[in-house]
Amino acid sequence: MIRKLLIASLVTAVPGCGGGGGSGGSNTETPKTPKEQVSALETSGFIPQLDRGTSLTGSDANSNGVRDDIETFIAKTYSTEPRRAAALQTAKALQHALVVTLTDATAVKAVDRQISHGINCIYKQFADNSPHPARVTQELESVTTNTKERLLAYLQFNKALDGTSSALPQGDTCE
Amino acid sequence: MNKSIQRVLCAALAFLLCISGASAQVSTPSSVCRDAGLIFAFFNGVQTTKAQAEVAKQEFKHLHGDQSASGDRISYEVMYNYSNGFEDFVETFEQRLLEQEGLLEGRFELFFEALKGDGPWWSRIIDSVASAAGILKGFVDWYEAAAVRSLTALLGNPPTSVNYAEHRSRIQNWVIEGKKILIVAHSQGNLFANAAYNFALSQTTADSVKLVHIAPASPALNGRHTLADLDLVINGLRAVGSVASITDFIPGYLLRPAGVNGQKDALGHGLLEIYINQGLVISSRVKSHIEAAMAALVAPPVQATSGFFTATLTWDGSGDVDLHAYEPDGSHVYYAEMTGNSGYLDVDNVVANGPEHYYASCDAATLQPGTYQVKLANYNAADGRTATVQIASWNDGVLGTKSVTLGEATGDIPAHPLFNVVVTKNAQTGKFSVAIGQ
Repeated sequence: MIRKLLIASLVTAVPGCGGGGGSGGSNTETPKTPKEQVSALETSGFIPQLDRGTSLTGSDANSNGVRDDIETFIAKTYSTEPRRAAALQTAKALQHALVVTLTDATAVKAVDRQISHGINCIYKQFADNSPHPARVTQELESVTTNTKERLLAYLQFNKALDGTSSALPQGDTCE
Repeated sequence: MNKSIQRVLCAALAFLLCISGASAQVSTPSSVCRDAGLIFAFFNGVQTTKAQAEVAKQEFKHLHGDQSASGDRISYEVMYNYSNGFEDFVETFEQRLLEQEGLLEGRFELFFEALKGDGPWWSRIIDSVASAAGILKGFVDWYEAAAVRSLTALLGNPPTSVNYAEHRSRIQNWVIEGKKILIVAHSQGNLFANAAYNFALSQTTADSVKLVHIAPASPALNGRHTLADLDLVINGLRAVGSVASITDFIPGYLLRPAGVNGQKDALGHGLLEIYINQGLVISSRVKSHIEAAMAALVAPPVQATSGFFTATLTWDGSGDVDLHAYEPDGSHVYYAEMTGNSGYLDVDNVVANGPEHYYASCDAATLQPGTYQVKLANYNAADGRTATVQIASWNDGVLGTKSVTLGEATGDIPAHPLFNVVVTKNAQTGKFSVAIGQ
């Protein structure tokens, strides 16, 4: 309940999300629809604000292999450069999973290895468990697969890995 | 000299190489590998992505460390299995997102949290729009039944080791390299693990391979097990058939502490949320089973050396199939010339099934950067056999597995090129890496 009240007060405090008309200093607020309330959570950063286009790759203005919206999410969500770099490394690998040629078993395993190295790097950089590396990994997996097309492509990648094995790499796998 | 005599001499040489290679690997300052004595092979549960299985592997490492109580270095591996029909869940999830006038329309980033019935993003949405809880509950209720259906179908048509050539070849490689093997399985992974365990027993003794079951979806057990009373997925299976006995009581959903991922799992079946959640007593049972199994393991006899990378050949019956490796400087390593300039053929088989085993040295002074070509020959009487070659690195495990149907015998001429293995050396750091090339 306390969290609910806190979030509600923070959401209404965000400019443009509070429902006030803005002109004339009116105190009359138009009640938000439930859908608008969810959008407000997105705008205020309580849930991720993501590109929902139909392409698998989305927009990548700096061509670093990570969607712009995910790059923004990483910059806002994780503190310190080494942590952001670990998240970007993993996000890039997860993005590869959506577009790799699934009939090329060697390429599929190579992407799997990139993901494994990225997660290993996350476990190194988030070793203080704040946030926990398991949560970081799930957030990156979830924002990468935020549309039906992306989620289905990702599951097909996982299907292509059925019956494979991989080892936990030793040492520093951060790029 | 005929091939049999030649092979006896070569086998003796290979044995010496194997012994000296093994000792050199741990004592030479220039070694670029770290050998493991114990393999922790994890078989993941139902509706788990490979990345989530990787996270589980990391968590097991966190709980059990780099080294066993008896001093063996532990290598953690995932033996991945995908749940058939996983993608169908997306369709149902999409329908749920459209409920309540499309309240959450298109927000597929909530999918993986929804599979556990909760999560920080869902909590924030429900805190703001309470009715969203109904969307989540509807999906979880559907998912509970769907997961049980998925596992029931799998139980009706259980996997065999034949379906999983990469797992099988990997186990065979561990056995000949003298590794202790601990198999840990969660949920549907137990069905795959049972098949793998039975295959391992065809290669070594029960002293060298142990299986620990977590939330087993299979009534067949080959080791100690842990099962929570409020595991709704396994309870659902109990309604349609036999399952293992309950070993532990866990708190109800509202009273449970969350797992490391911030989730509790409404279905009580999750690995991180329930079974290795250090806030729940049940996790101590899992940990004690794993540690007891590790302590009981006995290493099988060492027949082969773990190298910087290895190539392992097996085939499915009688006949003589040969593994040929061409090293970057042109050295041709095979049964008639078992020592190359960078690696060695240390296991040869002239009768049936294999294995044959080539390894590249871990000695930085010996290991050549460049391309290693791995090829096969049906030397004699293996026409039509399926031969499988697996390339594995000491650091990443399996890099690739390929099978080929052999043509007619070609003697010493390898007619089946399978892999180009590329070893590179970073000029600045001196670090070696390996990958499969084109």
